[in-house]
Amino acid sequence: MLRLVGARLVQAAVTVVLLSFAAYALIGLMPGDPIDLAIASDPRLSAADAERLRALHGLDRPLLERYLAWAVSALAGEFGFSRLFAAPAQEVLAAALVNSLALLLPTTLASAAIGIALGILAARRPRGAVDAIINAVAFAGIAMPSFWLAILLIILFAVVLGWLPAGGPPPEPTLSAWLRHLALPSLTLTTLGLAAYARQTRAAMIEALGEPWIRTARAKGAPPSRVLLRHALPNAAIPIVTVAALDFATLVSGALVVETVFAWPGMGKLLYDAILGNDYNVALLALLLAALVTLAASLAADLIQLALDPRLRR
Amino acid sequence: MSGRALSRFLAHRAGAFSALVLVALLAAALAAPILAEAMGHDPFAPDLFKRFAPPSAEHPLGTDELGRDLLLRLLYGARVSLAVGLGGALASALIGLAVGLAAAWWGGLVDAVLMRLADGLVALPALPLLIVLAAVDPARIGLPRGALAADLARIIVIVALFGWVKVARITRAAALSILRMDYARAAIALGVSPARLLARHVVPNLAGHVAVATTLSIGAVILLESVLSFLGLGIQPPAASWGAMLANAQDLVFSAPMAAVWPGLAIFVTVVATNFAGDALADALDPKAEARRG
Repeated sequence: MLRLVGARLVQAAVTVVLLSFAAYALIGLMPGDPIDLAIASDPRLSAADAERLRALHGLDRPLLERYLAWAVSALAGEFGFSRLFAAPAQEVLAAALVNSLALLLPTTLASAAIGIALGILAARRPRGAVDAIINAVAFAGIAMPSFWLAILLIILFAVVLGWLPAGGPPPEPTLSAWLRHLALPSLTLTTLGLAAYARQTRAAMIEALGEPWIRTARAKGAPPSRVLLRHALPNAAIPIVTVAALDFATLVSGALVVETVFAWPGMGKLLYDAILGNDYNVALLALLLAALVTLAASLAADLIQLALDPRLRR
Repeated sequence: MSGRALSRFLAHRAGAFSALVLVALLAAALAAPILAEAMGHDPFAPDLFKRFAPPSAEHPLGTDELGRDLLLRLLYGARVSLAVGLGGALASALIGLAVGLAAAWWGGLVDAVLMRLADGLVALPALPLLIVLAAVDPARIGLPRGALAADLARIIVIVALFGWVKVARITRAAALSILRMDYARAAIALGVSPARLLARHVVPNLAGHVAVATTLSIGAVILLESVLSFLGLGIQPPAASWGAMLANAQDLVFSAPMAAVWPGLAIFVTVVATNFAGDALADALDPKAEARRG
């Protein structure tokens, strides 16, 4: 088991190094080189000045050399300066991370709780009416573009009913302002997120309910709710927990669209703004952090599976 | 598809109906220029005197913020979505097929490297990376920029870069089991060349699995294109795309909320339909499904 974790850590480290280099190279290919922008905004800048500026910032050196210089300072905790926010990249990112967690943690808990409950309900009588409805809801959640649901919710709650703000960060740091501004993005992500839990729970519960020990429990006269929750659910938990860990990773990257629609100043919106605004340092750091979270989540999924299922430990 | 397979496909009622919807959508998308001429509108020419016209005989779904016919814009958007969906799924399938066959045939180091690459790709945060890729300026790597065809090709390439993993895994697993079958071993013993063995014996026997996975992935590709276009990184205006139409609609939720309904509904229906069609195809190509359904 320790060997497995070690191998996965090595693989994750290699992935991060390769990804950071690929991202570094790609970001240089995006439009709007800072020197080009400087030339465009100041007509007195001559070609010689541009060359001097490039040399001053080290932009005339080969890609690999520039990447290594960035990597060395990144390892020392220096990620450069943000062009858009005029602050060190890591400070900009930390603020966005807090906002993202405020959105994602309650959302994850809610979609897991509701999704698992729906999945159990659906598995109680497969192919019944409840199952059909829950299946349709779960299926809709998977086929629905997140930004469409977001816009529809804005139309309903902000335009027609006028109950909630259409987006943006909370204007004052009070709890009620936070909750009002978090409500719609959180509702969007929860609705879409619970679909995966419901489908996975339903499938795992139906499989568990077909096992012989369930028949035994029923024969011994255990009430249906006890059979469902005490006998079947723990056995169905392994695939469900795996989904939860992987889903958190999807959420981290998937929240990008929803954060952008609602102008919620989280990681996803920051990454998007940084890419569009040529804020290279912030974009790189945000991308790497997203990759680290994703890798950590898939490692966590494996570890949880090992912990829950003694058969995997050999 | 044999007669029995076709009847299995049609037995999946949601899938058969979905296939009908997709064919109708494809026909309407292909006929969009003819329809535009028949209706006498240019879906790309702004007419500021007719902004936000309500639905009428002249404009069945009304007009958008620049006075362009919404129905025609939707149909032109369908051309983009279907082209990217089909093209992206097909390109992913071809890469996946090649990678999967290479991994299964050579095995050993080739297999290990390709499959670790697949694992690594799946473990990455897909959407942020796709956005970085989509933001790359095509002019900097010597490609034309701006034309619709170039945009379509760009998105299809980006989709395929990440989309091949599933087909590669399916192909590898199926090819490994086929290569152990008696008929494949007999062909090897008879001295059939590897290329002929793969083309005549292996690929036809795993084509069904690949076709199902590819059909099922069309919906995901269409969703991805709409996200990129929504974020302004996909198909560029004035070309119509469902995602970009929704991005415009978001700015107008207070003045024209209905503009947000149609493009989203179009994406939703198309994605649902490709999923059902994929399920039906899986039933059609798997004779055991009939027995299971009972």
